[in-house]
Amino acid sequence: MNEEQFLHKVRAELDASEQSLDAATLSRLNQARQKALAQDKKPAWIIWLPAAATASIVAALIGGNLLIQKPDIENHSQSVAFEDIELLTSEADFELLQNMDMLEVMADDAS
Amino acid sequence: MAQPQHASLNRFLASVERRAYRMAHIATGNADDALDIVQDSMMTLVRKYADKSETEWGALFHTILQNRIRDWYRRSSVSNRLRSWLHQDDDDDADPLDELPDQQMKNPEQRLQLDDATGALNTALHALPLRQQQVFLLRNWEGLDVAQTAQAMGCSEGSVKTHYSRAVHSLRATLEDHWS
Repeated sequence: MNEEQFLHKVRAELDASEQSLDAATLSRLNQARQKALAQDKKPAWIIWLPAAATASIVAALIGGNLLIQKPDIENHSQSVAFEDIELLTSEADFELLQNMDMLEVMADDAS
Repeated sequence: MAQPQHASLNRFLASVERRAYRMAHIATGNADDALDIVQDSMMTLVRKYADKSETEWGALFHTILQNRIRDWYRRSSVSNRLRSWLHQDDDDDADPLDELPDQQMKNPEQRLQLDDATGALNTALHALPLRQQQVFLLRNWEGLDVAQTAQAMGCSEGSVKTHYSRAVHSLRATLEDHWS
């Protein structure tokens, strides 16, 4: 048997096996085909729309939250700046007081 | 879906479903898995490509079918490794309905002849590596050329030629003595 004869024999056997499929298998293949044909073909936007809507809502919430939070951050920065000035001021006063105390001690020693 | 398109798809799927089932069955060795693969392929074709031209359906269906067979093969490889690791035995899962006689065959003698020749061919085909097996079926049975087979299999044309040549060599070595 040469190669072409062999391949022809293989094709014949495969054809025979295809034609001799049992009734139960043929019935299930028919059911599978009908199920495939019966499925609704939904446009792509129907699948993506809910996901896009959810993503938009989440982005809006995050954006809104950031906008609401922003003034607090500015106030917080401002309050920190005022505290710094107050501290610097009080530190200068403290040094002045220390100098005054020292001057009083030196005056007492001199007298 | 429009009625003429529905009818065209029905005709197309009816024309390919038996061979698709046989190809999946040879690959999986399991009737239920083969039916699942064919049904999934049909559903994908209808869902994604029903609007394409009828002349494109054949190539698209073969590509989808080959993808599903490869997916099954990967899943079953992992599953088999896990099963062998766990030492599980699935012999109890055999369906008693599989043992019932087939009513469609004309007579027992025909059945015996077919079982003998087809059984030997099935065993030899199933023993081939998956790519060799599917390339052989697409080229020799479906009649696809090298380029069409490469497209369906997602590999190069050179790879198709190599797989086909090896498959023919293996099958001849296994079957020629049996068939002569």
